[in-house]
Amino acid sequence: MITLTSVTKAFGSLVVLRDLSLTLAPGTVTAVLGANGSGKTTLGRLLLGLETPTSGTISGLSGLRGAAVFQDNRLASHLSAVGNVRLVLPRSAPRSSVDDELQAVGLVGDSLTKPVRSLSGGQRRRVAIVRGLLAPSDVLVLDEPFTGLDTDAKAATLAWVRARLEDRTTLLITHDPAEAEFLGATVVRLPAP
Amino acid sequence: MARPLLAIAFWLAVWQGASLAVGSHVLLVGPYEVAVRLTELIHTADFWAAVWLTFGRITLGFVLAAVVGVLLAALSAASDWTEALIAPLIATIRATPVVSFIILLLIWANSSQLATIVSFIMTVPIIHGTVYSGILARPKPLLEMASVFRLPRWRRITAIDVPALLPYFAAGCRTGVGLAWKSGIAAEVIGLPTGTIGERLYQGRIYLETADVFAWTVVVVLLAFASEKALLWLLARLERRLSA
Repeated sequence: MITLTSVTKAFGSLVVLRDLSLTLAPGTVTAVLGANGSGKTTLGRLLLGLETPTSGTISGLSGLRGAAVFQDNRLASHLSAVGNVRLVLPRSAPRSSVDDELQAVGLVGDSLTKPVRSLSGGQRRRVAIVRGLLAPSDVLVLDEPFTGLDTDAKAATLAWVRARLEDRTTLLITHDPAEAEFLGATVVRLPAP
Repeated sequence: MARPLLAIAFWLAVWQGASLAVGSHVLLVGPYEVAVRLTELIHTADFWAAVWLTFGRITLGFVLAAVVGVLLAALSAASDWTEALIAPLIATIRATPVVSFIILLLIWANSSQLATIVSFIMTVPIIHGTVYSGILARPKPLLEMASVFRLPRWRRITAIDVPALLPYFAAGCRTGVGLAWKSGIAAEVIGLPTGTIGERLYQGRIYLETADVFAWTVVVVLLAFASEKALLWLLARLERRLSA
């Protein structure tokens, strides 16, 4: 159980999250909705250990392994789609399974092997999603993961994500309540800044 | 392609014209005489022995400088303390005239090691400076990604650090190779180690064989140019290999 108690995060004088208390039950999906600037991404970064609260506490993260689909992908641009995914997998993970998973979200042919810098925005997004979902983890943060995907790609990728969430504690950051509903998430709305 | 060749032809013509105008083989020889002398030299065993000896020593100095420069840059980036410790050393080397090093080294070391040590000393600050800048400029988002996914150190180095640093390292090498050759040859001209290009340059001056001085200078320029191109080719190969 991950528990945030009266968490506040400020950057200088700018308070991004104020007095947030939240519980993430193991193996559940929690969707965070809110206006731009309401602190959704900051909440994800707190869970990933990339930020520390200005005040308040977060318990239950110790020893848990994190993974993420970052809003800005954060792929190694010189590596291929397969290379980026394999980067976060154990050495023993077979390449063929990575190929299969990437193909399942619509990446085929040379889009698997050429540097991701030459892929389209939507293709890079799907590489980031596959990397985030295949990486071994206990806590998963999905920061607006389906942004930039066309309707068909989004539907296929959503279904693929739902099938692979398994028993991870997942935080979905989104503006779309339909995504939250599809993934069976408990919805939390953050107040506007 | 035609424009640079035309520019080179223009300046060779200017040089030849100046040589004819001066009218003295001691003061200024023309490119034709230099080419003739160079052709004579490359048919001698002594020429190749001198080329290999000097090339080997300066290249050794450069390679050592590349390794040590990268290590010092990594140390500088490791903490404020190590940065504070290393900064004065690098600043001192940068500020010290190369001839001061050469004269001190002539007192301390054998003249045969001079070119290696001098090219090493002069190149270390260049590699250190560029690689240190590269370390500081590594993309923070990717470092955060590596931290979240707990990438093993070796994977982080090959997937994030090396690709980020390669352009900086290449820029340092481009400047460093030229400096290694200039300082290494200067060291040889002053220290006169036997059978080296520097010694041949010095002899050319002593015996007023100006064509020899020009010919050996052309050799040095070509060797420095070839070293730079070979190095950049190797780095490009490394970059492609990392992408595979």
